[in-house]
Amino acid sequence: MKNEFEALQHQWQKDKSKMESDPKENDMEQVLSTFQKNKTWSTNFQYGNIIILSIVLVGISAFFYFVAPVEELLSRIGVGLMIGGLFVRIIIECISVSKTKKINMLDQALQTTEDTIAFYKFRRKIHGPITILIIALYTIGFYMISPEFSLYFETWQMILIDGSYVIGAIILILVIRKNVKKEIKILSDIVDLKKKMLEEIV
Amino acid sequence: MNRKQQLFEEIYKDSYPMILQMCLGYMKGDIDLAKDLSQEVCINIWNSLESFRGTSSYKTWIYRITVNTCLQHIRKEKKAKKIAIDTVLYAVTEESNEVDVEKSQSLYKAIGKLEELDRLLIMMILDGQSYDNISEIMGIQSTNVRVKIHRIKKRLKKILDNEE
Repeated sequence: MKNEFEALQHQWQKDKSKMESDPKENDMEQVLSTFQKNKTWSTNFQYGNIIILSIVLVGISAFFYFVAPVEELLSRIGVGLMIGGLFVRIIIECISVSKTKKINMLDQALQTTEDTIAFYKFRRKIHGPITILIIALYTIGFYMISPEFSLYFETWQMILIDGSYVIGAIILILVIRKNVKKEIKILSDIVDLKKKMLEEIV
Repeated sequence: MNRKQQLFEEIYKDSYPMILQMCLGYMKGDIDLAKDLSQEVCINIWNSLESFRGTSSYKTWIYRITVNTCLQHIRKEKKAKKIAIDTVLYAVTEESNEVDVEKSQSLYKAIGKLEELDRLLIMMILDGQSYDNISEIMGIQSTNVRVKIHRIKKRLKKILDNEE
């Protein structure tokens, strides 16, 4: 078996030396340009959620400030709950990105795996009670504005507005549920990976 | 060109073949997926350049980033499992003779049939890393690495024998 494995090692080294002489991989200018593009995309992707949520926050704030400034106290509290909920969500996303950055690729694989497990446990926590609370506050806020809005809109328009919110909320909950399931699966995969790393074979 | 970029270029020239080959084995021989993963490794190397203080050897450092990036990729990799292993092409063998191409393809196929962690461990051994080095990269005991490698070698042999 020793000789057979040495032959595999030889084959492996031979393949590597072919890669070393591959001119496509040694064109530094091309390599650096592709690398820069990918690096920018990767950073943008990490901040994608924060950017989208911030745009929504600015949009809603501008709407209630410039287009439909509400006057009643109940409505103002409602707007506060909606904007506050979104703001808290953005803060959580920022914490999430900072926690991702703490997963150090220079650490030993076992340590990195443990940090990744801690990160996904944090994600599970925020996806659970915290996200539900934010959606609940946002929904309460939305319906607190409804009485004042009903002064300016026809009944059928109000039904349309309230109804579309319900549909939107259902879609949002389904999307969140799907993501939670996905992340729980990832968590269990990484926990399994850690177990395999530490597994002692007798 | 600044110092960071210069250092990155040196690392790239020196280590890219090793990174690409590890990614190729991890991605079951699919060159496109392997190149994408290699780019992720390079981005992580770039992001870690300033943190490297020389507490471990330079090569160990590159291996750690490569192994960690591959393991972090585990969640995306699940989708890639559907790629038929028989359609896998290995670009590097383009210029090689037929026997070499066949040998390389069957080796990558066999490595692809191992579990993710086992793939990485056996590739480090194929690349000539010592048990102590692997232990340092993985953060698991050297004796544990030795036993795992012995078991993986047996499994790899079985897979290769069944293919013949």
